[in-house]
Amino acid sequence: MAFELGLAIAGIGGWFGLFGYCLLRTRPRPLAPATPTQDFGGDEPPAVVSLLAHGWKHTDTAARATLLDLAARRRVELRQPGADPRGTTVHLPAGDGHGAGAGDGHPHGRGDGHGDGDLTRYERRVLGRVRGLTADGVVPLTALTFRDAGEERAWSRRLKAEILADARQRGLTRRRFSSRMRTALVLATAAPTLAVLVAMVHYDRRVHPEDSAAFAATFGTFVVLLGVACVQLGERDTPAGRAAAQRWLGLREFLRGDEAFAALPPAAAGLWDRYLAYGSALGVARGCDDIIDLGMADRALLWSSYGGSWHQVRVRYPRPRGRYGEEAAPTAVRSAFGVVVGAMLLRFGGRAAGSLSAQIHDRAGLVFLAVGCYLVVRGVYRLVRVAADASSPVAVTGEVLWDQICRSTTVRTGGGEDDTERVPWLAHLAVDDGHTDRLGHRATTAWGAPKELWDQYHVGDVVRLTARPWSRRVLELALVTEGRARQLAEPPADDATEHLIAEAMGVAPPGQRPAVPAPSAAALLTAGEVGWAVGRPVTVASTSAAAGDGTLPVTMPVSTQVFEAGGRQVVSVMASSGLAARLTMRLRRDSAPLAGIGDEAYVGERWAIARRGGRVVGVRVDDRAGPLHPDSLRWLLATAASRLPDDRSRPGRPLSPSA
Amino acid sequence: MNASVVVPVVGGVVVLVLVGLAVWAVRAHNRLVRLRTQVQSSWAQIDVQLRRRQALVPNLVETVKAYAAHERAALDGVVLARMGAVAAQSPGQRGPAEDILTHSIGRLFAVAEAYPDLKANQNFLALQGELGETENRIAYARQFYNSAVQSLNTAVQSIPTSLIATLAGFHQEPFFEAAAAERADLHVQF
Repeated sequence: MAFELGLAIAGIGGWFGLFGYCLLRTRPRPLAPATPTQDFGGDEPPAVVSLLAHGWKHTDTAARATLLDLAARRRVELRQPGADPRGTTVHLPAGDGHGAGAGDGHPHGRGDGHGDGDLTRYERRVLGRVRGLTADGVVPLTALTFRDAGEERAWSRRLKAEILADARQRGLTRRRFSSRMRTALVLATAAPTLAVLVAMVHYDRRVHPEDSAAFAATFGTFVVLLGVACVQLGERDTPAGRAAAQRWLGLREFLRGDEAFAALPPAAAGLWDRYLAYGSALGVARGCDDIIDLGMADRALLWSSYGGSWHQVRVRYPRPRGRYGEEAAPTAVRSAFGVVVGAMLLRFGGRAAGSLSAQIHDRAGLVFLAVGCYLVVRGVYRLVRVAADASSPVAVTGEVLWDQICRSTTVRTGGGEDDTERVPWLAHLAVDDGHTDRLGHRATTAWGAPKELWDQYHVGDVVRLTARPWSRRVLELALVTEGRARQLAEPPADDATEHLIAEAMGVAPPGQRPAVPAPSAAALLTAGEVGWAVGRPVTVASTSAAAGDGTLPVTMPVSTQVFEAGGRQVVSVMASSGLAARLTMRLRRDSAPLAGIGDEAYVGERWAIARRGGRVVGVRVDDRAGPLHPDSLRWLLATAASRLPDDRSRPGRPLSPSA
Repeated sequence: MNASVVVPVVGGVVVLVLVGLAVWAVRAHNRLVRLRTQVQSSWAQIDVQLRRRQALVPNLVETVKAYAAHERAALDGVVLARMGAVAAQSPGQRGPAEDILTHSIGRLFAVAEAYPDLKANQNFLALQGELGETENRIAYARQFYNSAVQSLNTAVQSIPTSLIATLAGFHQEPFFEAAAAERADLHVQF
């Protein structure tokens, strides 16, 4: 037993030791700040600086700092009308342009460029949120919060991925475990897996040879270790990132010494320009951090623009039980049952207590009387309310402020005891209809919206609903106006962070080769060009394009074009991408290289081949074409290769910020 | 009550109060030191930018002289203003001196408007851009300096920190005033 246990522990422990070593080796190292200075540490945007200043960890400060930076660069304006910074409003500048345009380009952000072309993806994301929420060009700063947890999660994940993508493209950060290190860890799982297999087989043969669990245990070990090896561990530093971080930490040290700076409100961005944004990114602008929030809203106090002006609405959420949100019939049945039970207690309670001693009899009689009266009165009251509720529904028009599932029921999904599932059927629906409470504050009580209405509205919409005022159950709902928040709805971001980062960088996700579309051979050379090269007129004989037939898990797009002279094939052009292109190039790399064509090119006796990015073009001149000038083949290949589409551009790359 | 109990209790309370006062005094003193250091550090930042501007002035004068040598008044004004700025030491003296230098440079640039060849000169354009950038940096440095001075002066004047400030020799620092022309440029738009 000791041998088997020791072997398994040694194998697994050794692997975790290796994993721990990798963790230690790749952890961002602590940095000493540079000399305190008021100079900026570089041209990195505040969101990237936030990443560097927080030990290569993404934090909430990134979104806050980006908003302040947009204010410093005059993309939005922050105004504080009173003494309380919580009353700060965000304004879009007059003539806010949404198209691409020239940026400001000033290192201190004094410029006035209003195009979005010089903004990074995440800056556009934050600006887009502001633009989407403004009513008449203004939105309270504290109204930028989210009202849907899923949307908030998706928005934040994409923001994080875009910031990481920008930081990686600047060479300031990289994946915690490189592909090589991860591959090594995956390969190393063979050792503990084998150790567990040997230990289990040895143990089973010795103890219970007829019932072996060796393979199940081995497989389980392999899966667990593989999962640990592939887990996302965040980012790590790079030499350039460390140097940049040290410079920015120098600014942090300088700002940290200024007591007044730490207390500056967000509206001071107009005076302090990008310093406030960088201060927030570096964690030394507490006055701003306390106010700006791009997380989830407080559902009890929500902003509404219903009626044309921004105002806060207090929302009360009744406990989701009893009559709340229920139909009239079940409530009426329960109330009637209460009346019956109460009446029975009043009628028969005295008799039941009659057999007891006199003292107990008196007390029990009083209890039965009290409970019976309560049940009867309560039941009758509820029956009356149900009747009134059912006969006089109310109609309400207002803006949807909050929507959250509040009641679920358990449904059996199979024959087993555990085969149950919680199915939601009622949601809190807070609607601002313009009513005020006794203190004059805008206030509302959430309605109960049944499941069948959920797909008819969205937070921010103006809806007209018919509901029962006592049970708060919504009977009908009609959309009056779609809200601006619909445009801000984020698609779910369930992909792994690495996939989102790859999407933001415009590259293939890790472990996947980019799917390069098949180039068309017909577009690479014309009959005139080929005829000039071979010294005789040629015609296009045939063109074929073949993609993978679906039986293989990889795409093998190949396209060919054949040129004929006198009814016989003289030149063929072949274009390919993906696996076919890689295999073709691999076979030709032993031949004579040709300089100056594509990324690499090789030439044979009557053929030549070149690669440009992920695409390959080959030209073959048949013997029947007769003698061939040495430069003709090279010219044909160079011409064809120059017409291959360039797949090395990154359409999704965040644009470099100008300042 | 027994004196053997009262004396230790009162003594303990007194000692505790004294220790509390000492801790507070040390913290207040350290805060004042930190604020004064920040003022000095902020002033150093201004000083760097002012010297940078002063270093650019001779090149500017030489460049303008090559195209507009007869504009003696403007050129001499800049040279004299620079000498005055170099000679000034304390923030109180340097504010007016730098103000004069800013005006003189502004006048020189106004003179340059009349000379198209000078305006097209690459060296002049580079100097103009560099001076503009330096002015920008000076503006931010001044903001930081005045912010630090405000914090220090508030602490020095506030009770009870003023007691420690008086005992330890901390005093108020002068603000670095904005140039009159810059103040005049401020306008509010409704």
